[in-house]
Amino acid sequence: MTRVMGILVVLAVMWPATDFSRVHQTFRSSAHGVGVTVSVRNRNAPVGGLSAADFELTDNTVPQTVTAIALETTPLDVTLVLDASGSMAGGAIEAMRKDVRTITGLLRPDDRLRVVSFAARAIEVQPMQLRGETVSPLPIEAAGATAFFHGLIAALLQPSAPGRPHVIVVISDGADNLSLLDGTDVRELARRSDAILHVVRRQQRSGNVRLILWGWFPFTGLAGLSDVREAAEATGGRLLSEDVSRPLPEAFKRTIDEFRAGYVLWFTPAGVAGPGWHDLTVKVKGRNYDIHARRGYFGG
Amino acid sequence: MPLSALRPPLGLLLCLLALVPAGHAQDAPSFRPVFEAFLRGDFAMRELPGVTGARGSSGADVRKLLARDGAIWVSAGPPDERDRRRLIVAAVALHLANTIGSSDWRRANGVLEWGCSFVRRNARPSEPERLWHWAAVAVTQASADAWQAETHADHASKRFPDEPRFALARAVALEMRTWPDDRHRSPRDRDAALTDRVIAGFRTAAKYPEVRAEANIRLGFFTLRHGFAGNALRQLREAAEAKDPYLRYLLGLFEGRAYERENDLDAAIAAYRRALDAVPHAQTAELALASALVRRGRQAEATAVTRDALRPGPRPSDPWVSYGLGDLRMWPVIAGALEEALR
Repeated sequence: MTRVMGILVVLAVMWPATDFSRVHQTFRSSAHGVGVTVSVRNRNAPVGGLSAADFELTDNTVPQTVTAIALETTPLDVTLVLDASGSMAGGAIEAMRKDVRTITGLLRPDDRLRVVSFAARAIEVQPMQLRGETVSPLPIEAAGATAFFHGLIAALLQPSAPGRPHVIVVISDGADNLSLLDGTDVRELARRSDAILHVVRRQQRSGNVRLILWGWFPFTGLAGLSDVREAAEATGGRLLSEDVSRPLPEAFKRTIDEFRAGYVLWFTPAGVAGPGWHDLTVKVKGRNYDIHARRGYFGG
Repeated sequence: MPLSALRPPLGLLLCLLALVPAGHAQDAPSFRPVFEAFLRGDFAMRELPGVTGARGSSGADVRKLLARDGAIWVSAGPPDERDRRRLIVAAVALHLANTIGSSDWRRANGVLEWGCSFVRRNARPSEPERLWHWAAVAVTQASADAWQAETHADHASKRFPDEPRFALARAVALEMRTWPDDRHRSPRDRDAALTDRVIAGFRTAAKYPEVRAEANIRLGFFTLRHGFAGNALRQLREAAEAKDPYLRYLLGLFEGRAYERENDLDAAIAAYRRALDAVPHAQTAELALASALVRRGRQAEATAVTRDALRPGPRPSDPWVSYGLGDLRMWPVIAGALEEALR
């Protein structure tokens, strides 16, 4: 069975436009057209050595002609979104700072990293910059409520740089007790974002839960996780759950390694109307591989 | 806004138990020096550094000490000064409760309840007592204890039946019982009787011009939470006269959310901009605005708004973050007015 979990749509040289008509023009006149990043796995192992001829891609059910580029050597943009709420106070936040340093070390010199932290407010603690320019230690302090959705939305709202695949990795316990915006907003933005969204939910042990009797926490629980999963998968990413005791950089490395083992499929849409939502499907001819690719994109 | 920012300087009254004169370690801690200072109109004790003593004591101990010292100190005053003295003792209880509330609400509430019963012994309700109850309502609204918020609002309303803020406080206390909310709960899964009481409470409060705008905004948002965006918008329009930036921000924010539910993105964008006109750089409205702009295809504008929203450094308090804290946002004003009234 083909699972669509996708990776990334790099909508060519696009989206700096100020309205849909300009997006449409840019998107249609681009030298490359639409770029869809694709991860191909066979029994959990990446499948390498594929060429354009191996892929079948449809845009609104219409087969398209693609060119394929391996992502292995393509420089990446990574947005790391970290939970800095009160639940991370103490050792957890210090461990997170250390993890960020480790994660930074996993990037290549021409990769870029942005770091966004969120508690009651989301803050860009490090703008998108090359690995060697990153600040250490990051000015992250744990305090306050958890606006998880706002942090996630803040990352999705940032446009991707033309020609650079953009991966968003969100690391949190997944709880949100403050955001007014919610999973519906996340889903809507994910469909419009050029980035691939991966959410790593670090599960707390149940003994950590305590009754709060001061302050205002309008929302409870993990009720939005189905939306988050749907949003991540719509971009070609995933919602991963793991125990909080597991080293964070491991999950990050798995995500990035999987991405680097993938491909970008470029195509110029043919035989389909430009405006509105375009459903995408990607397959490898004659194979039953697991394929992770964006589920679609908005045309101008 | 962090609660700590709203805490009164008087919160440092916890240092009161350390006010025993140096060199008299054998003396029991006493609140009496503080009562005397307040009686003189000297509230400087609140500035004393160091919070010791009471923080580690049990709430019962603090309450007993306050009750003992308070009763003695009030009785020691001339008869025509006893009402004022009772208010001063209750004010100490109030600030003590606000200070320890974040770390131990049960203890704090015990102190507050005692203060409330003490101040209600006064023969006639007075302006300082009204301010005291308003402050007590604010403290209980800052807790997550909806039942106590309702109890204190009821006490206040009984003493001051025509006070608009207490009418609103009763509705807010009922609304507190609907928090925290399950985002995916359908109206059918909600407590219908409680919903009716909340609506009736806000409608009662909305009859008072002084709190009409806030009552309508809260009722509008409550309606929106139940999934009725059209009705919410009609309710929110009743708050159009709101002048307070805090209220105008919330009005624009909630209107924006309602318009989005109605799939009117242009109206939502305009509403979010009105919110940001009232409180510039407040992040919830900025993210909502940027999100609506993206959905409308206006990516460049959205990017500019997002960059501003995520900029590090001090930013104005986002009224959404303190929405559920009710009147605590006005604590500095209330506490200041109470001090003035106690002089």
